[in-house]
Amino acid sequence: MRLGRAVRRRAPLNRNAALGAVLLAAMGLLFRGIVWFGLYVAFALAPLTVAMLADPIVADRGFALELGVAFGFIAYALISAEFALVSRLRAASEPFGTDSLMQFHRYMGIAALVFVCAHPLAAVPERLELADFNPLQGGLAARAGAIAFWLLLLLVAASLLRGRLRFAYEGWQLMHRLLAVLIALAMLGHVLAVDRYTSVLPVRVVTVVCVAGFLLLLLDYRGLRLLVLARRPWEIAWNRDEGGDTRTLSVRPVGHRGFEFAPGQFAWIATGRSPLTSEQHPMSISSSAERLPDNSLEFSIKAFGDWSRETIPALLPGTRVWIDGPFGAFTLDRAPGQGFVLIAGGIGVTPFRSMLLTMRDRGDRRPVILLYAARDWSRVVFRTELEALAREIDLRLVWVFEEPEPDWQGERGYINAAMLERYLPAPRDHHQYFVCGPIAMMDEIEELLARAGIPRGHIHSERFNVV
Amino acid sequence: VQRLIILRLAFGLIALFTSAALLFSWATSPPAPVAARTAGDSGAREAALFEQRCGRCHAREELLEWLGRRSDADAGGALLEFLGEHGEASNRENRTIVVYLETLATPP
Repeated sequence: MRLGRAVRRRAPLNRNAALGAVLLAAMGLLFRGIVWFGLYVAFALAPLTVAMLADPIVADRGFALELGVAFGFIAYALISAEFALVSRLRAASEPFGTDSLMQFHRYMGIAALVFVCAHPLAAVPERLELADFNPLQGGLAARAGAIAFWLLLLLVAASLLRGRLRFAYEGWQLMHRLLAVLIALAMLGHVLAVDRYTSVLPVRVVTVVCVAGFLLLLLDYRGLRLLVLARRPWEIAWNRDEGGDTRTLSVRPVGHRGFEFAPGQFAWIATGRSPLTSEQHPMSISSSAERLPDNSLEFSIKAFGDWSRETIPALLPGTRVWIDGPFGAFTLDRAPGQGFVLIAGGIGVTPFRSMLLTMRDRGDRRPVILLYAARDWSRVVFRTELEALAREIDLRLVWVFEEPEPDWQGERGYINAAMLERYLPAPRDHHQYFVCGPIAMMDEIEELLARAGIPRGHIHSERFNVV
Repeated sequence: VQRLIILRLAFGLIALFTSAALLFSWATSPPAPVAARTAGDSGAREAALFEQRCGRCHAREELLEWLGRRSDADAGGALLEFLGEHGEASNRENRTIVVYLETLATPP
């Protein structure tokens, strides 16, 4: 990881030198982010631009009809680009962070649906009938268009309602991918069968390239990359019960050197017989980003679902697993600050363990405050380790318990504005703030921090349950 | 915080794409026939465009006569194709010229 290396060159760290290295790396990432964003916009506008320049239509076509066509081209490109946002292209995801791309993917998916709905409404409002949405009626163009429309509606609805419908993640993910492929093919069929703008080669080429790019990315994501992953196995070194329904897995690479990461990043873990047949789960890396002699990594996993409750405890030393990483922008290596405030809720402490261990290993002397919220002591993980770290680095620990023992003298209840006032260090805008925990807690804390005068750019969080 | 930024970005992009769609529609849809415009708009702009793009080599009457000789319904399309192959004007300008000539060729 480039950022990690930039910071690691100096140990123990001089504060100004560390800030300079992080700032420089952040500028590089910003530039790359701008380039990737520009490419995305250019891709989204490519079919429309080529169609406008080629403009093969000679018959009279009204403004509304052309507007409908334009909406169709935009929806077509947006849907084709959707997969690129979540296909784990490391170069593209590094500047933004995987969770940001997932959220962007979600919003642009909804935007694509809006453009798809606007496409027939603007193009043929006077002769639009319900029968036009029947995939069993009409010519090839109408049928393919109707199929694409209904499948896209189903895909978006299933994604938005997954939580309420209690749709299992694995089943939803499989359906999501299958529907996406069918939609891409139906869209292509519709555009080619309409044969108006696509009657000329440049427009035909750009529309085919859009969907071909989508399918190639899918092939890479679900095929080539899994084959590469299968050739780089890891094995369980140890599997430890941390209490609070949490286990820490130590995994070491088998026959390769593993990978470097920045503290706070995550990786996808696949267990089972092969990564080709197993679902992958995103997990924060909880060990130090400074490499151990055997290049091993640690993941601390709380029992939430079937996989974490049943599969994880059963992983014995020597068991093969597959790790795809690192990913994510939730790392203090990207945040130039004179100190850090880490706010954890429950198992949200895992990326902070990685950050604190890394600071210790790098000799980083910048001050850190960790506010750790849990129900009570029984739900706290890494207590002994964190207390030991508080003696090794400039770390202040603040435990916040929702239901503490009656004789508890510390903070109790939820983290609130008054509590933050007591602990936030001065000057507030010289520090970076990281929040990790349940979604509702992160929403609340982010708002409290913003109200406390923390610049929004200094508040960092990461969300994975965006669907 | 992050979600808000991404949401704003998404709305910004939707606005950008909608503007691009409007630009596309403006560029690819034919202008309204001269006769259908308001009384104050005499078609002087179209006449000037014709003079600029075609007038140096072709008299207006020459093209009107050519249009009049065509009996098929797509005379305008054929003329548009001709202009696309013979001039340097944009598609939109060519369309404007065709509509201008067709308007003049159509008896009131």
